[in-house]
Amino acid sequence: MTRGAFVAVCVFSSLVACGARPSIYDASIGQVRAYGLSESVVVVDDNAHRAVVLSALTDQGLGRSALPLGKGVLKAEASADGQRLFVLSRGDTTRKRESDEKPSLTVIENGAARIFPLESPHSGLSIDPLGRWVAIFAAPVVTSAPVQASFVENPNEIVLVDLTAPGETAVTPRTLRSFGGLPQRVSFTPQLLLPGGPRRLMVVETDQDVALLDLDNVRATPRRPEITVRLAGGTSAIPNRPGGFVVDDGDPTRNDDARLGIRLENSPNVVSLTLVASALGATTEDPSQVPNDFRADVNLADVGGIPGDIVFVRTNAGLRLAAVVPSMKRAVLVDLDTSVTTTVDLPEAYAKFALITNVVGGSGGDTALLYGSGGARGVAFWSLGRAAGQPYRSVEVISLATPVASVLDVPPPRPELKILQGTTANSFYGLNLVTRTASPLTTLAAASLVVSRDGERLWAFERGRTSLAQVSLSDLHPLPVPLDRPIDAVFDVARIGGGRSLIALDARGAVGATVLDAGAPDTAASRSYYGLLLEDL
Amino acid sequence: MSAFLSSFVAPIVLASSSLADATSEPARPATEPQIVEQRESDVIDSERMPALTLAPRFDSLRVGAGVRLNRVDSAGFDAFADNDWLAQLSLDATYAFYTPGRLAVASGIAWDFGERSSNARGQSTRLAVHRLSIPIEARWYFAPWLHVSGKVAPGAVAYKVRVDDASSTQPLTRAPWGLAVDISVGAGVRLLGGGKDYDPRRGRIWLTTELGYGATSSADPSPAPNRDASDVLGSDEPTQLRRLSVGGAFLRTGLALSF
Repeated sequence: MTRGAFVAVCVFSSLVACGARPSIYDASIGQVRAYGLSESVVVVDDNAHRAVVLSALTDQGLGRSALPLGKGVLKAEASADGQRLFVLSRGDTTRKRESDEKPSLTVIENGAARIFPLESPHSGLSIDPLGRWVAIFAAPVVTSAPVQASFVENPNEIVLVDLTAPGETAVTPRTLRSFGGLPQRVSFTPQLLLPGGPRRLMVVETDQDVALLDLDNVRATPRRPEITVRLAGGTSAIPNRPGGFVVDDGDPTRNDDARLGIRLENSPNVVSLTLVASALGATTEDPSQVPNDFRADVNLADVGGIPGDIVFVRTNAGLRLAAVVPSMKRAVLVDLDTSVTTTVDLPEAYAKFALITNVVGGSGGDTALLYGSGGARGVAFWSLGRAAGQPYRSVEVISLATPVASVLDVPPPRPELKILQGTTANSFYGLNLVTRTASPLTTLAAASLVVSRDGERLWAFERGRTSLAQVSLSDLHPLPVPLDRPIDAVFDVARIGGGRSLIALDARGAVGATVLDAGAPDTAASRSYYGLLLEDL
Repeated sequence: MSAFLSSFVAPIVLASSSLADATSEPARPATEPQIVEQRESDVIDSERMPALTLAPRFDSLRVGAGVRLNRVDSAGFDAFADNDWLAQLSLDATYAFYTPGRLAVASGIAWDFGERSSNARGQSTRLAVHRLSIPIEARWYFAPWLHVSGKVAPGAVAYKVRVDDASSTQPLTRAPWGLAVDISVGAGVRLLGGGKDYDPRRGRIWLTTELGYGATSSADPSPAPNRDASDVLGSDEPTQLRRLSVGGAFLRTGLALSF
């Protein structure tokens, strides 16, 4: 070998190809979305197609693990009981290979992920509070919502996922008969005693009607149609838009008195539906289907103004549909059999109801808490045990300096407490329903409030700043716990091994967290974590 | 290994005896003046002397500088580089302490230094790697201008890790150590400073190249904010990155000065 050839070999061997790293390292972090479950915090790491699960360990430790998610997260929502997180994903927009992802629903529970493939992407999600069903649909188009999930979408197609069914039978798509309406909300009723037996219903509120679907026969053959209740006025082209519904099973011994009450957003009427046995010989428009074993009897009642909220209540005169009308500063009780109304004047323009009978009891009827941000200062207790006879004596007012924007429930063992958050002022209140007292707590800035699931404490923090305080709900004693980093969210979660921990999330960069003992928060014993989304790549 | 050494030793013995034969005749002293008719065949002509009968000249000291291109297979390396290559500046100095015949066995010290920086999910990352080793090298000289070599270099490797994550006011840093060993084969060709093999000691420049495999023990690179203890709220926990090593095949090319 000549010297020249030898040198050439050396140079050639230096020119070699380079290996590339996994693409996850080049994925930006994007907007951080975190969801609190009862025993963990789930950070949706959309660009990395994964969910990072943070679990509280002893001695302020933080367990970290990652679960796969479908590509392109459209919506994520935790169940009310904090047991599950549901994530809707778009999948690969154009599937080039068999291995490319389809749209999917991922259910995260107990640190594991269960994936349900879907035929098409959807952006709307409704979770059964009893934990069996999930309804997937096209989310209504609003300014703040994501854009339509696919090029063509059928808003009236509802995909039902039965979480208790095996994989191949879990997903049931249903297309609702439509009169031009677009579904706005999908909800699930508790079990109702109907003429055909105990049933659960799915209630779909469109922008002009309401549809009822028998969930217990959703896969029955022959198929049973949904019941559509059209709310459009017969003489007006302007549809009545449902604004929410309430449900009541009625007398537990009767199967023909289950009712739904529907509030209309643009009409002074409230609608009540009584679910009774279907008529003998009833047929369906589609001969391949069989009729339901119940039907809805419709009643209308004028409450004098557009109601802010409705609720079924038990008064000394029987079951009534109560509506609160803020524009008239009044509440109205509707007799469901006769549609006769009873008016109760209110001192403020309350707009919301919350039934508190299960906490404070009621003498001959329910007790409701009235509140609302529409110019109403404070709250009021409405004793419905005497509302029908002496309506003017049934309301007791607790005056506060500010209107109440929201009411936070406190779980047992302190259900008698409600946390009232004002609209503008730097204060909130601890309302004791039993003693009917409202204790103010003031803050230096607008505070975000989180009530722990064990009902023992409240956390107040200033979003994007370091201010954090624990408020003991036993005596409303505030304990300042300022951190050294900005706080974007706090989660009070059960700790593995017993006790509870507070995980304060810092969404900057690759996401950090500070963990404290929730029961005895001490920053000197806290642990700070950094770069959580750089781990386990 | 013994067969390998035997293959070296046999030619060394032969070369040594040839050297003795070649040097004994010119060194023979003349005890008395003699007039001898010179014949053409008696004239020693170094230009015509067969090179293989001569022992090569070994330069005892050698210092080298070059570039080491290291392929890194460790997944932990991905956080710091967008490909699997680590280029390092490579410096070494050796002394040939055993030079029988065409063989030279040398040892000394070597230092390799390389750095990679990248973005991991938008966060700036940097890794500096220092490798300090003791090379033990055997060179076999085919010719005065060409040798091949085999080398073993045990040592230690230091990783200096830095991640600039916005969730921390301070950079996340850590500098773990690990063990390292290189095994390589190579060759060297003399570029400058030739001359005859019997020339007095002088500087010679070589082009060297090696191909080998470097093994390193993996280290936990998990960095944490390097804050003053009085500034820390409770305690700072490290970011758990994947374990890191820089082991893998490598190619080293450089220049060496021997004298």
